Amino acid sequence: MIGDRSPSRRIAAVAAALALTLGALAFALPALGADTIRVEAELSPREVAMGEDAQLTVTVTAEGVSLPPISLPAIEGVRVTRLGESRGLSFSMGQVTHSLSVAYRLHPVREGVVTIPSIRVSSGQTTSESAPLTLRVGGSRQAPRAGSSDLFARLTLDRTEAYWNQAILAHFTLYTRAQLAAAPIWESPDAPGFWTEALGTPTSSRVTVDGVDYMATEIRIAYFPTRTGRLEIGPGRVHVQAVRRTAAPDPWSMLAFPQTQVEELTLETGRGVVDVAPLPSGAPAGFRGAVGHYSMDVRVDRLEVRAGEPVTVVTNIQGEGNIASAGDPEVAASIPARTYPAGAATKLDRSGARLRGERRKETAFVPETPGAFSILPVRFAWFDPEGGQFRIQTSDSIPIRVLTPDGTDDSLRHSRTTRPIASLRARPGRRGPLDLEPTPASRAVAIVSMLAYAGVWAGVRIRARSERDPRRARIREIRALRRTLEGRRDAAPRSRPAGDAEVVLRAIGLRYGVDVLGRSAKEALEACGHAGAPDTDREEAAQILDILEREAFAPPAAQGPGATEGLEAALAMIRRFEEEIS
Amino acid sequence: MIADRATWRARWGTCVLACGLWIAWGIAVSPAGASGAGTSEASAAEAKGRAESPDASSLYNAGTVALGRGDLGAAVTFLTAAARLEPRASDIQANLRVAAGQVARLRGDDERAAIDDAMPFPVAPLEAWWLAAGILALACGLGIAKHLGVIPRVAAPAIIGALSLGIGLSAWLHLAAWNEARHPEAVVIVPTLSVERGPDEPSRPAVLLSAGERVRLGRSLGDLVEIRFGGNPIGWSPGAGLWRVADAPRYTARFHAE
Repeated sequence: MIGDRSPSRRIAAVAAALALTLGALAFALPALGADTIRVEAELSPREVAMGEDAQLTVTVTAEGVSLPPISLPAIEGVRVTRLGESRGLSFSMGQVTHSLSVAYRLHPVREGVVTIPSIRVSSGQTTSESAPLTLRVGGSRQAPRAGSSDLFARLTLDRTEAYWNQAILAHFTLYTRAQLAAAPIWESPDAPGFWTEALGTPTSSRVTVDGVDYMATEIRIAYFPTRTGRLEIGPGRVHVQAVRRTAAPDPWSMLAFPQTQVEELTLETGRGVVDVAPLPSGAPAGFRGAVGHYSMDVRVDRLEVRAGEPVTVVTNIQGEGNIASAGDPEVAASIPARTYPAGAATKLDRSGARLRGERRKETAFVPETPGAFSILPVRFAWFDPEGGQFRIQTSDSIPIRVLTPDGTDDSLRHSRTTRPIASLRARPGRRGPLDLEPTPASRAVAIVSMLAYAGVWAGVRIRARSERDPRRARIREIRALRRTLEGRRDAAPRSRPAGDAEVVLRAIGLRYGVDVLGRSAKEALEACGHAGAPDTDREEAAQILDILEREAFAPPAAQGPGATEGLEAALAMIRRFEEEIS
Repeated sequence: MIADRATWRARWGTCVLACGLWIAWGIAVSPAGASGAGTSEASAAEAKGRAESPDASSLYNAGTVALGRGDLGAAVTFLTAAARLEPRASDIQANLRVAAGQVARLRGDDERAAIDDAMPFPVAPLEAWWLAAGILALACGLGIAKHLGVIPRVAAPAIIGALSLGIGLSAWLHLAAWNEARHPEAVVIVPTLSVERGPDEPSRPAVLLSAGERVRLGRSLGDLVEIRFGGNPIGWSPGAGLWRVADAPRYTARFHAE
């Protein structure tokens, strides 16, 4: 029975054996291949400004080995934040590949070059490490950049040589291949020495630069030089919000991380240099600074007026150029007539490629008497910069007929004040400057007076203060005592007042701040001792007092004029006190 | 007591005399003062200074000739300049009123109001400067005398008052001179002067000024000059359409009497 198997069972057994073999091969083949592990680090962007972030993506791919964890080494100069991770599994040619991607945000904390060291991973006996990377951290985030090949700004001038007041058309263009989150914002470009007129609104179009397609956003500005020489236009600055695409860390996980990031940038164009030449000499009469291409039209509102009624002459200048600085032509009548401005208006058309405009002026003439007069030819001159010459347009004379007032009075004539004009002078008049400045002499009188007053006032104040100073008062008193004794040198001792001893006591009292009035010599010296007088001074004073007393009561034969021993000793002591107090 | 009073009077007199001498010396050394006095013993330097400084009569004559020709801008310029030198001269004031009236009539204003608009203080700037210096010198002299004990202390309020008056007058004159130097007075000389917006200013209608109107000038930009009126800038216009009052002597040669 055993050898008697049916064919269907035999086929099933063969299929099962084949499946088992294939399954065993499927699990055995990877083991036959080499175990590999690979780590890659990617940094985007490689250069950032302070305040901007970079993204570091570390991807580990393992074949035949288990997937190791990723641990980032310490990176100086940046603050690292882990954004997230994704894992993947693929099967190809019998190989099973595991991948792990981890994204980190690097936020710079200082300027300079930040080095990201090699990232090492190991699984079993297999080890791999990534190449080191560098991140350049620049200055301020808002610092203008020249741009990149995907995003840059340019200034284009339609001419680099111009005449004074000739229009120079500047195109400030932003070229971008990147997506912008908002419309770019242009700053008003620097242009010292120019009259500036912005033309129209910003325009956008597709252009090709060096074979590359860009979206170009452009503003146009007309510049009119107001001085001659070499002048600069720009740079123009534009603020943009560019949408930057970040690289997907793992091709198998497109939705794992944010794919875009808005970056604020300030781009700067170059500078344009314009050589401005002065207008040639020989400007015709009536030229008032108009440069460009103009035409003039002169009209009157009526050809027949009554006396006392106005006729209005309208001059209309229109053309291409800085019409605001063109000036109006003079309009005059052939007879003396009251003239007054009746209105003026300037319109500018900034919508086109060039600045165009119209300048309208109305002048009213009021003829006083019936008859006829004419509006004299109106002459308008301008400089044609393309032709390099002045051009003149002159209108025809316009005759006006003045009718009778028809019974009505000229009220202005009646109200006019008729005053005689004073006659001319024959004698010379007063001379002097017209600039309202003071003469040096009047200025000197005022300043010296004030200085003298201030000096006297300060002197009096200083003197009063010094008189209130007790130390100075003591010096003055002791000096007076010395002079008193010096004045007594020529007197005989007996004829001297008995105050020599009193002077000595007052001197030592002043020296040590003791009031000696009404005290005996002994009491006074004791009081000085209490006030800090050393024994040497008190003994010296006592000796001098003894000598002075002896000299005063000596017999007349022993007395004589001149200095005595006691007086000289007293003077020496007082001088010493004076020096000590000073 | 009588002797004390006599001594006090003598000291007072000495003080006042010293102040007077000081002021007189200042006036004497002033070129303008010497020229005004018309002394014949002027030095060569003073003669040169007189030759350079404008003469009120020549300005007046030029203004009168311009007024006769109907050139109101020039007339107002010359007569305003002449009035700076001789503000109380009746002929200058008369012709200036006539010119102001014609300017007002041309502008469509009430000419009587313009004619009645006379100077509130008809004092020449030079006189005002010397008045201020004299008041200051007198006040300082009295102050010095009081500090030295020559005059009694009861005079202190008068001294302070005089000092304040002198300083206030000097300050006002300095302000006027600064304003004239920074924003000089000018007169429109063309029949119509269009004052328009300047660069970097929003669009607005032009202001039209007629001949003879007085304005003040501000900054310059090429041939354009900023026009100020009532202390405020009102726009820009070509500088060739205006004459500064201080420059009036430069133009008198064109207006000689025939």
